[in-house]
Amino acid sequence: MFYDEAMMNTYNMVKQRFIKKWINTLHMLDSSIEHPLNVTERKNAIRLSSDLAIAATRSGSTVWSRTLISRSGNKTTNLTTNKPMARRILKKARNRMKNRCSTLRRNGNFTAKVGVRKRTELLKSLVPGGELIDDKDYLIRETLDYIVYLRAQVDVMRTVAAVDLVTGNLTNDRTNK
Amino acid sequence: MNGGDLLLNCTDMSVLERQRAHLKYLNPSFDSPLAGFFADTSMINGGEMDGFLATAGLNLPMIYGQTTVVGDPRMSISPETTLGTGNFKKRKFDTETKDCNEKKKMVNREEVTEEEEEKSKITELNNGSPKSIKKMKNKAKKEENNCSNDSSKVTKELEKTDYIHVRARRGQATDSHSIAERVRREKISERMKFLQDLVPGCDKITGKAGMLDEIINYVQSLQRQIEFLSMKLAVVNPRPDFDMDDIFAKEVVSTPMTVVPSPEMVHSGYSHEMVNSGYSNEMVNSGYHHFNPMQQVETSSDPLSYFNNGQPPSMWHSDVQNLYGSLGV
Repeated sequence: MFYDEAMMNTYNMVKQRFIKKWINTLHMLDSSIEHPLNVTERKNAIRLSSDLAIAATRSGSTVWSRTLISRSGNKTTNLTTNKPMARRILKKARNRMKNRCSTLRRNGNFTAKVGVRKRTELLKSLVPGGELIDDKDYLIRETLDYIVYLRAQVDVMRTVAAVDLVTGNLTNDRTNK
Repeated sequence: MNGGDLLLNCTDMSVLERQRAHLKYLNPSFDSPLAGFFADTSMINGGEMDGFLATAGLNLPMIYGQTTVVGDPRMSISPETTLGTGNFKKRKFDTETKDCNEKKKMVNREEVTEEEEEKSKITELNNGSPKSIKKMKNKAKKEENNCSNDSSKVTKELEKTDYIHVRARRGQATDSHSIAERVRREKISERMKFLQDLVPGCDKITGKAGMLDEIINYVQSLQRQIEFLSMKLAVVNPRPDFDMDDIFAKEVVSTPMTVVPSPEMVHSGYSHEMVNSGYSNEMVNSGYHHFNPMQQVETSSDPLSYFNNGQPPSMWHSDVQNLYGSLGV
């Protein structure tokens, strides 16, 4: 991955900052969300908190982090509010955003002939806030930044999941004994 | 803008690097002597020229017996016929006054003629050169002061090089728009290169479309992984709240290595083991292929909370050993 030692250290630092923030967001979310949740809702909550945390770790001038935070803001409001009216409004807003993205994605499989333009569109749809960026150069810079943090997020989540695995396994053993 | 640009960039860089290395070898005291010269003159390019300019100049001396200045490809003016080698030094001082494009053009025009014979050998390298130059930019700025006095030394080295490098392409546009465009393209390809390092398995691919494809795939796969992992975590934990993570965070902070799953948190003795054995995320990953994650669903209690209660060390130890065994540690 990173061939540079210094980069690796920075990367580890990023991961540490991320996990701390993630714990915080999880706690925050946990206290504000109604229990019990089914698996899907739990997943969404975890995903949401994770995205929020990674965006907060970046907390810089990147478009993607700001977009993630504002998106997460919408989602948390959605999760925590009980009022049906508010829910409907938020849902509409989200769907509108989703539709825009899916239209781009629907363009399907690209052959090499289709070219750079369509791929750029697709990339824009993938990177949060990419649609807002016109300059291709800036888009690539954003993507670079986003990839690094995305990777950190995946690494940490994978680790935590593995820990859960181990502890879960232990618990299993105990209950089976 | 197509794959050719990226490719050229690479080729050019390596060539330029070779040139610079060569120069350094020959004259360790300074770097690309011509660089500074052009760095002064090229305001737009911010001294990026140094790289290829230095290389460009390298080929000429044997003919002219002194260092010559190569035309800035970006300025890329159609070669004119006056030969100006004799005026080289004089021009140098002129340009060092940090004048703008016009001066540069003058210099270029006069020197470009010498290169006419080499025009035939000019390849698409020219296209790539502005980009590579851009990379040399920062280096060039440092060398600005060194170059002026040393350009004469370059003469000797010139004979040894066998490459003909970036040259102004015949009739290439010199207006500010195309220059800006070229600069922009340089930036893009530079970043594409960085992306190549970042996205695994990208070295073989050239061409913007292919690169973008890889990037898109990678981002998509990372996002999907996150989705999958959050589902996994949701399944394992009855509540989206990790009690253990407070401890986890502490452990993570103290561990210099990459984040390591730390069941050993409870027993610090083991943390040593795990860290020293080079336990990595990859191993963890392969580890849970052995386990069926769905097993966890049956447990009614939050497995994580067990940690807070502590566990008998012996059982812990044996379980951890089992984990290690399955991972093939």
